[in-house]
Amino acid sequence: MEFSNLLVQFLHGIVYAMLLFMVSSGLTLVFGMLGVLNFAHGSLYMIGAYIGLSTVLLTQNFWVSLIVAPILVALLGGFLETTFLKKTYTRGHVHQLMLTYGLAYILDELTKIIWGTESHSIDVPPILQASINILGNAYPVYRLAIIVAGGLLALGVWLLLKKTRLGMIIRAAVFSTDLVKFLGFNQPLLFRGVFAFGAALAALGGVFASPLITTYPGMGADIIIDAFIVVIVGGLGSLPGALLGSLLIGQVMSLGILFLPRFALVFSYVLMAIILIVRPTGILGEKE
Amino acid sequence: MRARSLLYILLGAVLILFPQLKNQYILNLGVQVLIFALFATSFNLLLGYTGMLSFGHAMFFGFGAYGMALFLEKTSFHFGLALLLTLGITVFFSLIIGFFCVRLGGAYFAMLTLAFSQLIFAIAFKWRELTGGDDGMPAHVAQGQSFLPGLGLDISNPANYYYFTLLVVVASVFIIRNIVNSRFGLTIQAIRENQERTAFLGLNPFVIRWIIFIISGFFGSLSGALFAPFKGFISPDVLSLGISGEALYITLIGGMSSFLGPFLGAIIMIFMTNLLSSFTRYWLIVVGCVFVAFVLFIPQGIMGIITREEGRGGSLAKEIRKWASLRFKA
Repeated sequence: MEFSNLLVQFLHGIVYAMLLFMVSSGLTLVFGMLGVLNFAHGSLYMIGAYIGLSTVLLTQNFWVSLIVAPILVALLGGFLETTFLKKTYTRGHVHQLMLTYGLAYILDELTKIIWGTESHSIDVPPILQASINILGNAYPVYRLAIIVAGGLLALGVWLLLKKTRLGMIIRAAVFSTDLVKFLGFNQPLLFRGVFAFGAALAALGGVFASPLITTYPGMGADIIIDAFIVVIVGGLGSLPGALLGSLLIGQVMSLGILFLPRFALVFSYVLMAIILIVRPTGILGEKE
Repeated sequence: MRARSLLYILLGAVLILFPQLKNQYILNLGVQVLIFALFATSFNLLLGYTGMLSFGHAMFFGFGAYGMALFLEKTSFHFGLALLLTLGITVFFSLIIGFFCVRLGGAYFAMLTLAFSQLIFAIAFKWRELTGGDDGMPAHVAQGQSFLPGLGLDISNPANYYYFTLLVVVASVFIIRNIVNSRFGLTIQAIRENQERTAFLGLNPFVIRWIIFIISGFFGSLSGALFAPFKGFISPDVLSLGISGEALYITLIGGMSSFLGPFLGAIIMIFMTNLLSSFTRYWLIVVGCVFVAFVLFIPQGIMGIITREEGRGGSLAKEIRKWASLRFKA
């Protein structure tokens, strides 16, 4: 095994980790605050990718799709929250799970009706089409751009949560939604906002993923389980946990394929099982 | 109470007279309903009665199905012996897997059960020499074989297999019902309501959750064991997340914390998926809408509507009004 191959595979792992983080950060925030395990989150990622695809076809501009897709998907997320989830906050996880699973079915099928069942590919934007030389291997700049974007996003969300007043309210709401409500904040609006924000992050992930893995029906189902694993491994409701979990799962999958391709199917599950057996609430999760 | 006893009598009559229709297709649906009703009932023992949500219940279904298939195809064991061994092996594995899982709470428990079921899925998928991998493997009952040696009932005949399944399922549900109504059953429900307080009473929640995990696995495996010879063929699909999901939907649609619930849920799910998929390409949208509608308007499940006169659950119209007022106030 050459070192340069290892490095390339390591970078691939970070790229996938960044996509995972875009999906799982919303997932973990929504769980932390709303208490909802959102199975439809993968569908929002996929719809983001498809809206990105249509935008690119319409405007021939990748950068516009990076703005349009998150905004539209955020609106969709806000709509889903007020229409469906809002009523279930007192019903417990199990009902919400079935609800979001039902929504995922509906969204996935509607996506097929609107965009068809074929897969489509988006071109990498011209500025990022080059490759750079990494220890003798040509590595696409676009992948490096995803790493940078993911890093900036993680930093941005962290700053938002830690350094702004809104972030403080959100963190307080994760701790106790009732407390925040009794302090006079508009709790329904806060919930809708966080859900929409999570949806926007997932959509962003979808747009970024499209040039790499194409846009296809089922791409949501393909990432949602990995994203759930990330959220559990990192600890439910913890944003740094989601980042750590993403990096771990990304590496385990990409290095795993390199060394033991026969068992690639189960690496993330094995990692999750080991972590949960050692730490029953994930790496950074609070004790229940 | 009248509505419920009427329902029991009606259901009983339908179940017994079913094979007289002499319609192979409907008979098959009937066997599926029974099998999945038992599967959901075993799942409900965890979810509805102990408050443990599992994403990996398919592993038990898979233990049962693959156990039967392997014993029937690779050995010359009698059907009854194969069933016994399959269940024994399941208990052994649930003992080990349960030990790790039941210490965890909530979503963590759910995801660890998922991890184990996916590991077992991968084994069934990859171990081609033994299981045939994703090509699957046959699981046939030998011609003229009875359930127990010397017993006349030839279960290679579909109608007889139906009655055999009916017998096993009804007996299992009867046993599960007795477990739930026993002292132990009250203890698991106490854990569901408040685990901490149960521990303060001097009971060990870990051990109790472990035991119920094994019991639930036993009956889950039994349903899988009935499934394999019925289909005559199995593939790693029996271990998929979809099967685990099936248990959840059947339970929620029928109604948690009741015994008739999973039967009604299974009837709806089996007929819905079988009939809808032959009518429209977009049947999954309908399934999705049904899920959403149940959660929003019939959260107590079908049993919730039936037992409404007993003062539990709200009326359908009231639920819809409540939803509309929430939706449009915003």
